[in-house]
Amino acid sequence: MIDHKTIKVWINLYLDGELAGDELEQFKQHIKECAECAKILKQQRDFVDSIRILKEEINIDFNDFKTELVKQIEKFKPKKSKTFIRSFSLVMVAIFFIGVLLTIYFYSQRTDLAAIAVENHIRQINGQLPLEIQTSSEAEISNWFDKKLKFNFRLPRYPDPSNQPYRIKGARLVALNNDYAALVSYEMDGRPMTLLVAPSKSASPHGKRKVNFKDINFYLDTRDGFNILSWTDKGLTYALVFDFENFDWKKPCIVCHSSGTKEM
Amino acid sequence: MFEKIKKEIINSIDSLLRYALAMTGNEEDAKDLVQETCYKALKNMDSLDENSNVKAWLFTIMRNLWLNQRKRNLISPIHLDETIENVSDEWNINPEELLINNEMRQLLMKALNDLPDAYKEILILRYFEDFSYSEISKILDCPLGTVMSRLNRAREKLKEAFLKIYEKK
Repeated sequence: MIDHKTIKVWINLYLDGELAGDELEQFKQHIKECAECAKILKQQRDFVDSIRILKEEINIDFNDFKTELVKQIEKFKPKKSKTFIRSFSLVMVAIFFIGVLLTIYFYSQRTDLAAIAVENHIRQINGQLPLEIQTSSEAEISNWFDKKLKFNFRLPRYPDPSNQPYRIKGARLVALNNDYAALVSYEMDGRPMTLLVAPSKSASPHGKRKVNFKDINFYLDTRDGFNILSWTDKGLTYALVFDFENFDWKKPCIVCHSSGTKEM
Repeated sequence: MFEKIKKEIINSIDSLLRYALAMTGNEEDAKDLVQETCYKALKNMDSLDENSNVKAWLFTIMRNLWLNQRKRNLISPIHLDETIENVSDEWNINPEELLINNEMRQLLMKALNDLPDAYKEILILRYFEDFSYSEISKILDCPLGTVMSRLNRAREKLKEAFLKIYEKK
């Protein structure tokens, strides 16, 4: 049996909606059975209700003030929080660093096309890399490569190839970074010359000397007794390997830049 | 979410004005306090989430602003250690009677206004604004037990003050 003192404490908790569970049940039971506590509950409820009535006494006319305040609140545009700005800056810095790291990774993963070109040139002249198409026609070679490569590569065509100082012997695919590169075989002044072409995202030009000509960096090098001219242009990296006598760096360029009018 | 909070701020203006008026006892000070409260709330809306109790948060802001204006110690509970004399459970006034009797209502209002601020504000939070004990403890930044004991004293003090005035009549 709950004593009256406890019930008196519980009366206020009950009226304020703060009594729950077993206590609430015990309280209700006690009030049912105890007339004295029921009377106190009624008096206290009347008192609390009287306080609540006073709420309506505060009825000063604040309408003009309220209208103006509501307008100001509705007009208010929240500024970006410092937390948001800080988070945004951190994300941007993180993106920048990831970009730098990816770029470094990308460049570090690119193959030295000059080295691969020399290797393929040696194997080609040793008969270890037979040509897959044998023709002197630029058009036939371009068509043969079509759909075999993941990049677009076409040889320039000249109206009268017989006038050129070089001769196309044929072409083939060679493996490069789990994909294929295009190898074109030439003969100039009775000497073999090969052109290896690969996408610039997987192969880069290399050479001890760098020459800038018409906004393109040409790399010149000599390895294993062969001369290598490599460069990147329009998403492709090229490497020409040759061993001409009376060596002239500009001489191999004639395979693409003949004096005749180009046909595409 | 900001629009939802703004709407809740607008819906709380009446309650804030009532509380501010009771605390300041002055219409102009009450308006300033409410305006400052709303402005501070708008600037800090991003500290809330979907489940935040916006009304209780607004009252907390307003009370802190008010305390800062009043130099905190003036409203400190340390001034509230008065004992309650001859506390009586008796309250033989019917609320319906109070509704009809304007003079009696004004006497009770006077008794409320004459209470120390700490008692007045806790009665307003509970009986004008219907905040729970838990919400009041957050607004007043005090333990739940303090809310219960202070509310108890506030009720008894109001009853005592009213009966003193009423019996003199």
